[in-house]
Amino acid sequence: MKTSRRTLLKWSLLLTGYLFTTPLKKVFANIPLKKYPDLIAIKDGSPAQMFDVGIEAIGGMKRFVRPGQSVLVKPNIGWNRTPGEGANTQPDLVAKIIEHCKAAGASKIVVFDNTCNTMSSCYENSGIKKAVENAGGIMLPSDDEKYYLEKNIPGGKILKKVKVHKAFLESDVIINVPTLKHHSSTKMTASLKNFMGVIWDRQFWHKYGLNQAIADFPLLRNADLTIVDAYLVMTKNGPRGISTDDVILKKMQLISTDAVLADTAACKILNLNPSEVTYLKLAEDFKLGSTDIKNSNIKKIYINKKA
Amino acid sequence: MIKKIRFFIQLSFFICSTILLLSFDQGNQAHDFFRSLHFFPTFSYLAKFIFPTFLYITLFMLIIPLLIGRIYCSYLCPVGFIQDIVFKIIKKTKVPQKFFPILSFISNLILILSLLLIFTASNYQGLFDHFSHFIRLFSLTHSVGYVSFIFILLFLFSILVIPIIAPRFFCQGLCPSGAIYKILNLNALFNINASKACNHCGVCETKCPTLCIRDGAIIKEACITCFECLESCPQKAFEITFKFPWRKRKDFLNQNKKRRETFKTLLLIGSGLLAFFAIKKTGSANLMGTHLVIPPGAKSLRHFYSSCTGCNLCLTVCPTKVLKSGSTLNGYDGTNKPYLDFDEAYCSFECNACLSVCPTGALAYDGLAQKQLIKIGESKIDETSCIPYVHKRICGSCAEHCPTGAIQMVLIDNVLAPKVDRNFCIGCGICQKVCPTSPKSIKIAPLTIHTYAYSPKKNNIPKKPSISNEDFPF
Repeated sequence: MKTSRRTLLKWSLLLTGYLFTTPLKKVFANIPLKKYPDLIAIKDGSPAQMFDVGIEAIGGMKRFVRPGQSVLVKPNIGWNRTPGEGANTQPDLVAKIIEHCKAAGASKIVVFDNTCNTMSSCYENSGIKKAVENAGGIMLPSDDEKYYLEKNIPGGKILKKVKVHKAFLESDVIINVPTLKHHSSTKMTASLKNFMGVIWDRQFWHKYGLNQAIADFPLLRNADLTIVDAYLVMTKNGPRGISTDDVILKKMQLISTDAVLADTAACKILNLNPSEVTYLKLAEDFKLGSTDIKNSNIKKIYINKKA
Repeated sequence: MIKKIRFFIQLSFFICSTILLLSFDQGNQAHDFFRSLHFFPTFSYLAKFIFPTFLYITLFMLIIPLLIGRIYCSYLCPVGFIQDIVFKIIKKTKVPQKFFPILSFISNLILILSLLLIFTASNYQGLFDHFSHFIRLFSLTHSVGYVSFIFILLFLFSILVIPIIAPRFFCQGLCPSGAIYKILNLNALFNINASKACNHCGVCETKCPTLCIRDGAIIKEACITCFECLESCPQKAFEITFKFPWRKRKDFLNQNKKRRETFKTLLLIGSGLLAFFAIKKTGSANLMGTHLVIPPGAKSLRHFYSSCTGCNLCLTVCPTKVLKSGSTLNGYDGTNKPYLDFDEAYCSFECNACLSVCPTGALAYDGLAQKQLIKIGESKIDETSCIPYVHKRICGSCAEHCPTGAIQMVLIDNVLAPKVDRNFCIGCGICQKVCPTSPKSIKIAPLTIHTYAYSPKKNNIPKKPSISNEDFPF
């Protein structure tokens, strides 16, 4: 059979049309991929130690960071408090993540948070500035509106437009490193709530519906990897805390690619029913992740466990 | 040589004092030293019968001019340094002789007035003090009220423009510390005098930085004892001579006859002005000032307004820039004095910079732990505009920022809404700053007399957090 130019064109058009309309996943559905757990839960180690073990279990940092890519590590540095008071992410953990990113070949690793207290005092006293600079990351300033760009959020219910930090938009990979805390209004703050530190005008969220805004924001861009620091957990008087009386040393850490799932597990650690935290359900409705913790593939790792 | 040495000392002192005043390390010896060199801050302490630890430096500074003269004015004073530079650029060589008695008269008047104001704990004690004026220049980088701005402009005019006509105009005519030095210098033990070797060539008259030499004799009222004439005289005719204080000075201006008359006039004008200010002081402080929050450590509105000289150093070091300089908005008494504006900023819980730099003791310092309990105001929620009360949806911006836990979210009509526990509220104002509504639904009501709040920390807080060994609950 002789193929004419016309038939060739016809067939190739059909083939491209098929490839464009059908998700690639379906085409390659039969090809077995290496399956990683949905959530890694690690316990009984120092924050850095737990991360070392946990990141291996989820496929290593190479799975997320390709050589030459730029990375944003977004810890919680909201408060002018010391690491022992549990209001901010543990600096050792942030430093460890940066080391892993470096080893994976990241070209540039930036860290920032739009802090609640004065930026410089938060950066200093949380110990994160020192840890980041020692590990080879860059602390970015966040206390001026000029660092933020206005972006539209497709599909956002109340959050149509938001001013986002340039680094959040420019970085290739986003690693969210929240610390698990009680929160006076939303009951719990971890992964999704931590994104309030990359935007400029938080008061807008408070004014027009905090829970919906928290669920709306990841529609713009979600984290590629979420690491919930539950080493020192603030169980009351959050998110700032008043004294060491408010925190409990739980020595836990959650690592997941699904921020909603990590938050759901974090709720359980705080002895909260995930249904009490309104924004989780709202985020699940947007298909940002799953709150179905029972049917998820969770791998629990115990460091130093006596057999 | 003396000229160069003097310039070098002036320059280095100018730089050092600026840096040290603007850094706020508590318990810094050098810091205490620099702020005690200037009389009026220390007088402000003495007026309240408080004897600060650095009192000995001030006493030492009072003894020096009795011995040798106005070393402070010529070698150390930063304000004098600025005027010297202006004068050096202009290179004027002659001023009318009658300038000196007029300036001397004005400065006496100002001295009496400032001493009366400061020792009666008036609200206007910093009106003429050179140190307060000098420090206020640094607050230009911050948003100052328009009244402060006018004060700064007037001061700049008197030290940058007037010296073109009359060198050291501010030191001789306006500065009350300069007047103290002048009076002490008139009775100094060691004096510069021309010997018989003087041939009236007139070289020293043109080279004197204050142009106060006439025909080989120094006008002591205007002399700042810089010793430059010792060097500039081609005959080396100037020498330092010893004089017993009871021996009569050879007075060039020969004002002895007029002295009694002058004294009378001074007393008259001084007491009249004092009466004027005393009337102003009573009344307005309590009526007008209650609308504004004054910084922690101020104790009470009366104590604060009567000890603050309005130098605005606290404004300069405030990291959150919550401190603003008062305009006439808060009464004539609040002019130049700091207040807290919570709409844009808040008073940081972990900071006590303003308390630790205050040179006059208007903000009394007792350590950070105590500052964290000082109640400067009280937050009040307006339930007719607060989001959870009106729109029935959560907000909680104020509660999450509250450093003392005074604002707690409680269930009201099934919505978490803020409630203030006034026992714990210290009035730091972060709730007002972060409130998303406009106008703000939570506002700080100022207190005229500061009190202490309850400590938010329990009595025996563990140094380390409690440890939990429970397994994952999922």
